[in-house]
Amino acid sequence: MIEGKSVPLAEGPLAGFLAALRHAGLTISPASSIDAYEAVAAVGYRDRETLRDALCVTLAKSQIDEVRLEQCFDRFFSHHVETSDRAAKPRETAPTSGGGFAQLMLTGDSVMVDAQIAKAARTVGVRQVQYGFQRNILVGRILRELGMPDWDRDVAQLVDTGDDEDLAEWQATRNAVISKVKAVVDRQIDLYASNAAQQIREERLADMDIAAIRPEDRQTAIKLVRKMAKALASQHSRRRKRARRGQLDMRKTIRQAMPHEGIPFQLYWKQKSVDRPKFIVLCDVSRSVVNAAQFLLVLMYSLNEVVDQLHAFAFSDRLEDVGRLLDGDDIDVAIEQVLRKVGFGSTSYGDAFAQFDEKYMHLVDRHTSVIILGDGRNNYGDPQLDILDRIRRKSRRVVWLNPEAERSWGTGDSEMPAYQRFSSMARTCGSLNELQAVIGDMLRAPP
Amino acid sequence: MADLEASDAPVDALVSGLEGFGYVASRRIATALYLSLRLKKPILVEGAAGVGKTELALSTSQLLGLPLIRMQCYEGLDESRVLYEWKYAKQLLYTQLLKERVGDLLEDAPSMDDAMARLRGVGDMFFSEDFLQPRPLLQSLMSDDGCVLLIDEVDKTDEAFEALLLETLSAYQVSLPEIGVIKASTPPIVFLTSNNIRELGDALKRRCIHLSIPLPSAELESRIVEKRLPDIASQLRGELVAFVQELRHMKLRKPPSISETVEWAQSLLILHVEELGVDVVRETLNVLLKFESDIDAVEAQAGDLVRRAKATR
Repeated sequence: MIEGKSVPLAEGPLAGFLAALRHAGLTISPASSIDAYEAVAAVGYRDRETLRDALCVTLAKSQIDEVRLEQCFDRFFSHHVETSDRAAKPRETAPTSGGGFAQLMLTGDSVMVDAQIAKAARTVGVRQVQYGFQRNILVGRILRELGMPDWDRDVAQLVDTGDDEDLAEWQATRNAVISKVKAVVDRQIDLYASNAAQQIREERLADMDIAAIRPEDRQTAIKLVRKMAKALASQHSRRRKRARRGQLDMRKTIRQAMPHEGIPFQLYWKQKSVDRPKFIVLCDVSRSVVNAAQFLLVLMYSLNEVVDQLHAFAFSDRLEDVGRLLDGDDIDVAIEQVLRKVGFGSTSYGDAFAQFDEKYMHLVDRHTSVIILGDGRNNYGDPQLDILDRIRRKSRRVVWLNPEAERSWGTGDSEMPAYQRFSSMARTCGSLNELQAVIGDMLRAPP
Repeated sequence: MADLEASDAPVDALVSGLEGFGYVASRRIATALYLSLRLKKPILVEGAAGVGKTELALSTSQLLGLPLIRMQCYEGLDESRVLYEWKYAKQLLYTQLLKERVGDLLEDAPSMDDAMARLRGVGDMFFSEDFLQPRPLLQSLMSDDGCVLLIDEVDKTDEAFEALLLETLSAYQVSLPEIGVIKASTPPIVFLTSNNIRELGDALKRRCIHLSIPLPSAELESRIVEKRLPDIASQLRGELVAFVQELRHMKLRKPPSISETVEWAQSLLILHVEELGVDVVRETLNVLLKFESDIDAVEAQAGDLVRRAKATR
């Protein structure tokens, strides 16, 4: 706390700004909002640049946050004072009745008009807006708050008296107010509602069956997968070493005790460095699995921070190394290329395993986790279980991800029960959330 | 600090103050620094290597006339290196020396309990501040007039160390089991720097003022070079800054940052270069770029880049 100055209450522009930031996806903890209040108390609202810098350094906790905050700041504090011709023109003779606001409107004091609108907007709770479709309701409420019904009565009176000039002016003023109010509401929707809707959509996508994600939602879903990857990466980049509980590191303890006549003042425990995992991903890209494969590849490639090595192969009836294709910048283009190369054939797991055995078996060692994504539908061919068995023995583990629900494993041409037997783990990955959970588990622990 | 409080525009005062010590700060840097002084919060500085993170702490300590305590972080750093250690050797030596005295003291004690009581009367002399070896973090808390504490590259340490920092930085105090709580009479001004090797914990971030220093604009960079090397001709300065700015648009493994620009400018000055030429650039690229592949890539288009740099100037 700053001595001698009380921090303003949670009202006023800063409270609104914090709410807007939260809607924009920033995490603002109570502690940092207190910081922000104190910072504003220290620098004041006078200088816009300084205010922005101050809010930036207290509230944004990463560079991405910083960019978002700056955008939000510009939108939030863009309080343009309109000076329309009508509002600017003072008028000597105001109509006799019509309430405070109508008088005000006609005197042309645009600052006061804006202030009145802002006050009315606060009263009806415009900040609680969540959806775009609430726009008209809110506009109506604000206008009522400003005394619109009284106003229309006056207009009716004017019509009766037949004062055409005054009537025209009234109409124009009325329209000006309405458009002003609309602008205010739009800005609020822009600040508060768009992101809320976005968030709801993302949550829904994350839980949705991957196959059911529609093409128009794909971009959002890919963004979401990247976000998940980032969360995973920041969780797992933090643990590099972990102490093995209860195992004394004799050598280090004795060495450190040397200066004290060998008396071990300080004990040292054995530590184990957690090595970064290596992955080999085998993706079935036949029609039935292609959706899940895309998201898995995006996820794996966004994890480059915490993954030591990643080899990706795609197959349908033949196997193709797709690592190089995916190294490019644009993941969408890359995936399209992968699909064009090997996609949409009829699957043969047996052939794919045989090709892997022939060309790439040397990549597998005991640090490698092998992820196989596929539905295990082998079109009644040879499942080549012995190759899978060999892969499992050479690797740290083989995880089989199947986008199909567990009850349909083994129906029709599915070899899943057999493959499951020869994998260390078999899981369904129907939704993006499940996908994230599986990969998170694999990053976390040795089997 | 007192001047700052009284000043009408404290942020501007900081900018010019830092400039007096050769640090050209942007408004955001100065605002962050001002708020950190004002709110008594540590300041977390992020940015690529060589944008002046450490330099900021050095200049601040000069500006405020406070000593600088620097703590370089690395993986495996632990409490005994950052907080305190007991001087084991000195303790042992004293035990040897005082053996006889202790013997005299306890000689006529009738029982074990009595001897214990007498020993207790002597006090825990071996675990007092005389035998304490304070390390940077504790030092900074114990300095009476305040100091600037620079915790460099905090992202290289592990979680355990971060937790230790949390305790210290939130209350500016540490508790030593043998002695008690040591609280700073004047809280140190703390800078933490990070190269983004790993994401820092949210708890630590929340306790800090967060400042990220981007690579500078051409105008700012030119001023920095001017400040550091006043002798350099303005034409050469403009050209070399424009050239470096061009490089940053290329896809390099390690784009040059401010420190490299300054070093390069210095080399050109020593070589008595008057204006940028393709040959000079080729010969001195290794000052600017640190990877063989980067040097090759730039060398291939050196002529083009020089021409563009001269045009933009």
